[in-house]
Amino acid sequence: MSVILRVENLSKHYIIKSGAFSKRQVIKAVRDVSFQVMENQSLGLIGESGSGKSTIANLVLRLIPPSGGKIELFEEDVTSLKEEEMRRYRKDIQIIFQYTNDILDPQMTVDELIKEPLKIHNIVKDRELDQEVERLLEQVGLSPSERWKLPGQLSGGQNQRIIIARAIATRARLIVCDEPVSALDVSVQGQILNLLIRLKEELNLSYLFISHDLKVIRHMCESIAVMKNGEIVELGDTFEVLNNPQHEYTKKLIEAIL
Amino acid sequence: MDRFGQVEMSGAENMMEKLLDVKDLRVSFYGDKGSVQVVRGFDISLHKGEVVGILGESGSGKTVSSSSIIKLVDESLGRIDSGEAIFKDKDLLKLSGKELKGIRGNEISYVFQNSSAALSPYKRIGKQLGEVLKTHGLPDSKDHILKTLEEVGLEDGERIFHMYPFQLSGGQNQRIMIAQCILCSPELLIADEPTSSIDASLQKTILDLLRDISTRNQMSVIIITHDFGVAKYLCDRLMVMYGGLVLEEGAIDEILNSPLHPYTQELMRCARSLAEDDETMYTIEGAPPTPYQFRDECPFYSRCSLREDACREGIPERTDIDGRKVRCIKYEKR
Repeated sequence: MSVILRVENLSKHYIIKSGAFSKRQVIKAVRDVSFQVMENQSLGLIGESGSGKSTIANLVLRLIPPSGGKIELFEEDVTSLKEEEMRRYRKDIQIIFQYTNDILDPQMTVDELIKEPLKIHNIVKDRELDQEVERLLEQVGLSPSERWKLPGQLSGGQNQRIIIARAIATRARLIVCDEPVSALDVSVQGQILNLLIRLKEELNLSYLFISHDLKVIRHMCESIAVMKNGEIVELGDTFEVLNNPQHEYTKKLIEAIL
Repeated sequence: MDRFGQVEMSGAENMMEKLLDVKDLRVSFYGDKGSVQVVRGFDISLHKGEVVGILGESGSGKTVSSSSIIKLVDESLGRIDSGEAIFKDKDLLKLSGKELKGIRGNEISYVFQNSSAALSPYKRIGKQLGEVLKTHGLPDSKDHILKTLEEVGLEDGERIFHMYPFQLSGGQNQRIMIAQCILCSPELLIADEPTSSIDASLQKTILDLLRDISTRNQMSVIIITHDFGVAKYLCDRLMVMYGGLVLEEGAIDEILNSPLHPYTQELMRCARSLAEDDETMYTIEGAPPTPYQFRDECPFYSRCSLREDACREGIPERTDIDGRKVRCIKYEKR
């Protein structure tokens, strides 16, 4: 089993200066974090808001530069790759955002939304585009009749399926899932979790799974990293961590499940 | 100053005293495609000191129905079609804007879902809370504010008094929002997803806090949530909303132990599936209807495994079953 993502001593600091004469303030959003994601495995990141979960997602996707540490993708150091060099990894690592009403372009049809990543990354030949969209729709459980609709005409769950279709369209190997079900209705959440698990097996995917819901992480991830104030305070096999938590904060999180 | 002191009443007698009685509330919104009714018949009755949960998914009408009780629906966006909301002998829906202002924040308070947006970023906490008191004709007493901050579990009140909302965490702001709402000792607190923007580890603390204040001050609470866990932890009674209607209502234990409506049953199976970490999550196919999809039939029809043709013959009646209420034709036949 190969290592898909390895992060070593990763840090991200922000410098805040509110006025010309005010003191510089350093915000340590992520401090000295290390973890790895194996092939076809999922690592769950859990922690309170502001603990640095999404900053880690942005660092791993190289959307923001790190202040220190190392990021390896598919066993190559990508920490200081230039944007052009990074481009060849862009299709291998995708993100599924939390569904909100404004995340998909409201003027694009489902067909156009799914074709967009296919075209950007030249995944299939132009004449195969239509067939590929059809295949992806089926793979994420959307009916062919949905293809010509706009996001506003679809439910939250259906829109989340479009977001997932766009992520797998590029043949991604690692997908960062940032709260993929927390905005969805309870009766629909399970549909999306089942889909993500099925796709993981079918497409040999790895997930870096961010959620504030311990029950969701327990269901989705083989291992778990608990974050607090920018640090990973506990990391290990999900079953082990949940049944025998070592850190006080982890214990508190487990106790807080209603 | 006796406004601030709590009136002691005998518990048993209080529990029987009806505080709020809402009947057949209907609310419409004006949309691009014409006006659409989003709440199609909402009934709630609340005793003093009682905690009632309204559970529903997005678009079920839970927020609109609760905020309409004190007419918080923007008149340019929607209207109350019909219904009454009797609060201590007064029909809130018939009151003028001025009369309602006297009641809102004073006798009835509303905790909004997004607390950080509900506090002014320009004013120190102490000043904001002081203004609430002044608005309701009460003296701007720092002692009272500090005492209320302590009540919501903010220990360092004196320091927080001089701080701005952005200097505080989400959880602290949520507590300040609750402090603001209980400042005038309301008799009814409506809390819209009060814990959805805060972290799991803090959720319990906030719920405990609401329960404490409710018990201590004989304050009634309506809590809006989409989470069975929250409802179970806090509520005496539960109303389950779907498609602009209350599909089921009853004591919390009765609903959790033996749900009557197929929707409640299925929803609980979904929640249990996640809680018990089943190999494959139990799901209800399809999605909740949007108001534009509302028809003159059972709103759960298309997703219900027990559906029959008769379910499409109008909206099922509210049927009384041993003190519980349910809208499903299976119970009408009895």
